[in-house]
Amino acid sequence: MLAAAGSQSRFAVAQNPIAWTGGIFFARYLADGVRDFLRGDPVSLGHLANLGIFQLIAWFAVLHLIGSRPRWISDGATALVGLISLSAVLPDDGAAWVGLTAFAMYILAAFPKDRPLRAAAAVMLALATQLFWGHLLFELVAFRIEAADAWLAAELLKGLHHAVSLQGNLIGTESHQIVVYDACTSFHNVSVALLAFVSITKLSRLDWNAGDLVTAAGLILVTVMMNSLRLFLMASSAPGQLEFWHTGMGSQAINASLSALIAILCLHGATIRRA
Amino acid sequence: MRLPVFIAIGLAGIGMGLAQPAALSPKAQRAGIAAAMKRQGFSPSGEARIGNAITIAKFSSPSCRDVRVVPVSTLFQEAALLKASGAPGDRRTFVYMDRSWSDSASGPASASAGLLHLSQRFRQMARFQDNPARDTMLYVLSSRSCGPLRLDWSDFWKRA
Repeated sequence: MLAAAGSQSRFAVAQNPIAWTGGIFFARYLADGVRDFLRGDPVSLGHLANLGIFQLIAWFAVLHLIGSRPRWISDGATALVGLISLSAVLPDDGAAWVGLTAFAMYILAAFPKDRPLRAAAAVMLALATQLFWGHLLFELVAFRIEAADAWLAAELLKGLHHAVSLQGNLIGTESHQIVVYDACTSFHNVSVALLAFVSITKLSRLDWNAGDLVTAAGLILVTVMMNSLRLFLMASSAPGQLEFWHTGMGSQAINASLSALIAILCLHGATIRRA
Repeated sequence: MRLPVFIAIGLAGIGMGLAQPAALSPKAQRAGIAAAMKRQGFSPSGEARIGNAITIAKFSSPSCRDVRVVPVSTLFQEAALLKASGAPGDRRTFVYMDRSWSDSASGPASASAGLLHLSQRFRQMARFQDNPARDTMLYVLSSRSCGPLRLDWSDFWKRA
């Protein structure tokens, strides 16, 4: 039975130019990740130890959904997706995300009744948004988000009777100051949480429902709160312990907790069918 | 015949991904600043730090004894820290590619540099230009006694 299913799966991929194109974009993603990991870049496959794991889940969802059955398309359509896949050969990493976005748009336009393909396209758009479009959007509003995150952490400090000053994204306490930079903002983690939400929901069921909005709102709330907690712990800790919460074990513990919370909320939202 | 073509595209994508040059490290960036200043007659005269966040490179020449250069992000997230640096009479300029703004125009500088960086990012994708998209601009401080400084940063922005 298993052998038959495996054979069917191989057949599905061998006759599926849509799956080939998805595979090309995944290969480029892996190559970029391996390259950054070998160079010791903290934003790389090494990052998968914490929140980056959701990117792999998203890719699994994409490849699973588009490779589930054979999809022969016309020669013209094959040429079109082939042309789109050429964006993965351009030097800049961002070009592949623009290509993946175009690929998802093509699927949405060309296969309006193919539910697994439409679900895969949603995950592709979430991936491209988390890893590319979201960064561009963030650049336009970065300082406001940094200042808002700093304000939340400062309010937590005030609530616990700490002396605190706030100047934009700069939080001052009795002993030291911390600056909220782009990598410390909740924006990054919220985009990861929403990617996890789209991927896990689409792996679980192909259609959206109204309850999904509640799950998404809950994820955003939890992620912003956890990020504020981390900033609060950094600002309220003794100067010698700052690194513990910034890059050390404390930071890893918060990321692991956040990953677990995101996974639990997404699984709960995906499996409970709301009216 | 179709599958081998797609496999070839995939392999080319993997090769291109692995072959991309590394992003400019902070150390290489500081070396680039020092080289650009040296070409214009300035020699390094030390470094200063604002906490763990910012490193200020200091330079001097016979005609101007005090120039400080700080790489800052186009997101302008160091603004609060930069306010505390320098003396009241210092001339302060932001430089991004071929544009520069005085410190009093820090708002427009942030917005313009951000948009310039975004447009650079897209042009870079198709390699329409040789210079890489940099997410860093330079904050240049000089004492008033140096007069208006005209520094040429064109080499700094070029691909290493």
